[in-house]
Amino acid sequence: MDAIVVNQLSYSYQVSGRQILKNISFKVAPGEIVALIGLSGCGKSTLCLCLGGIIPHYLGGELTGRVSVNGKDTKEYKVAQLALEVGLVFQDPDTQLFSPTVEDEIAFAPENLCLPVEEIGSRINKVLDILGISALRKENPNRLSGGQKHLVAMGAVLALEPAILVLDEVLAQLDPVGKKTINDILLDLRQQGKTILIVEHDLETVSIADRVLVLENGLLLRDGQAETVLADREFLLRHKLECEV
Amino acid sequence: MSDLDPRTKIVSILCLSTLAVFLNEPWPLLLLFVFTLLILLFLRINFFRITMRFKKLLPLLLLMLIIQSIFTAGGEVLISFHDINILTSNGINSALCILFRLLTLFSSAMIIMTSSSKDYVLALTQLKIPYEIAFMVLVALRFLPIFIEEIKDTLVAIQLRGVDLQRIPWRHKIKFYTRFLAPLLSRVMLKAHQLAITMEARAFRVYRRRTYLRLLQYSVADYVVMVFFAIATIVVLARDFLY
Repeated sequence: MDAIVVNQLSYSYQVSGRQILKNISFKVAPGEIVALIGLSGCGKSTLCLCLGGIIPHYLGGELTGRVSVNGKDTKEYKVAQLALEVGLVFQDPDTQLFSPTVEDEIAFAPENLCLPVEEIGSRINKVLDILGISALRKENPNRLSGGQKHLVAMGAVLALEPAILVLDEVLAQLDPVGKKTINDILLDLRQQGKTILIVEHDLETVSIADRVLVLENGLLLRDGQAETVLADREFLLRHKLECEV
Repeated sequence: MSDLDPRTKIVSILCLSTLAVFLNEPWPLLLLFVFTLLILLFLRINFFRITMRFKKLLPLLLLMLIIQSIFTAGGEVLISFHDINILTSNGINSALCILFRLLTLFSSAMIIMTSSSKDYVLALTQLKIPYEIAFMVLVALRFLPIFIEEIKDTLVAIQLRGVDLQRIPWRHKIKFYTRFLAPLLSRVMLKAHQLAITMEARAFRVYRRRTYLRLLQYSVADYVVMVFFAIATIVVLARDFLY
């Protein structure tokens, strides 16, 4: 069974009425790392919201087609239920951190799953180890640097142990060391069988992907092997995904 | 004492506030205020922080003092103008009561700061309050500083565009504030909405109940403090009502 199936997905926001996604179809196999690239405003974040069920459950609008994650149709399941399958990490870490300590932040999701205390503790230790942030355990998340906040937000999602991880421009605000750290973590997670969708517009940061999807004005322009797409300079220049030096 | 259970702190705040509201003499209220200050020091709240909070309240306290002194009649007339009594002994009494009452209420509320917001979530859920409501409190506490930051950022942005808020007349100032209040509120609402989505995307409310990494447990000190506050409050109030 495919981890993500998007079939003829179209979506228009309620207020503007503008169609932001136009008849998109693709599949992602389990354990694959897929990069979704495109210019700002092309619909990348909207597609992420569709994968997590936030569209249509939270944002309304008009959605046609079908999105399913691990066999669950996003229209039929609540966002909290889909969270067991898809972990969403958003762009702005400040709106994702609300607990007084990093430990509490990471504990939030396993607590919601009614896990026993021992299991919550072990998930916290595991996530802190994976992300290399054990020293920040008792820190207030709001007093951390931008990169550290992103790691904590990611850790809070990883504690759910979802099979699919969707990262919406998480790497954009990180320095080169931070980007490398997260890329290494993502490769480790792939080894553990996680399916990962990275949304980015910086091509360098998506070099770890197996496949690349290119979105333009809501249309899926290209779906191909990462080496092939990233090596096609003419295509990238034509669609302004790369600049002439 | 800073290690006390948050529920004990809630009880102590309730007792102190009840006494502050019901006591009606300046001396007992002054003693209550001094006692509250001692608790704050005992809880290791920075004295500088306490004085800074009171400094912000100073204009309000002075205004209350003046209003109470002038508008409370009765007692010995201290200052009069023709037939009009401007200051009476009852006025001073009443003003002092208001002053110590407000100071006690504000300082007792500072006890809250000695535990983390998550501890209060635990306290409320262990007091059988639905966890959704307890988390609403947590999020409100989280958003208060964000709201203040947003106001500061907006004011700085306005001033960077060459508007000197100190110099423009009040009429224009009010117009200005109403103009920036709407976008400010919409930004804060948007952040609150994003936070709600984040919580839901982390399986919040997926089940009717949830577990907690740690649970609060009363210690002997908690029982001693709670019994002390309860008895002290009952005795003081009974004495006040009976005599």
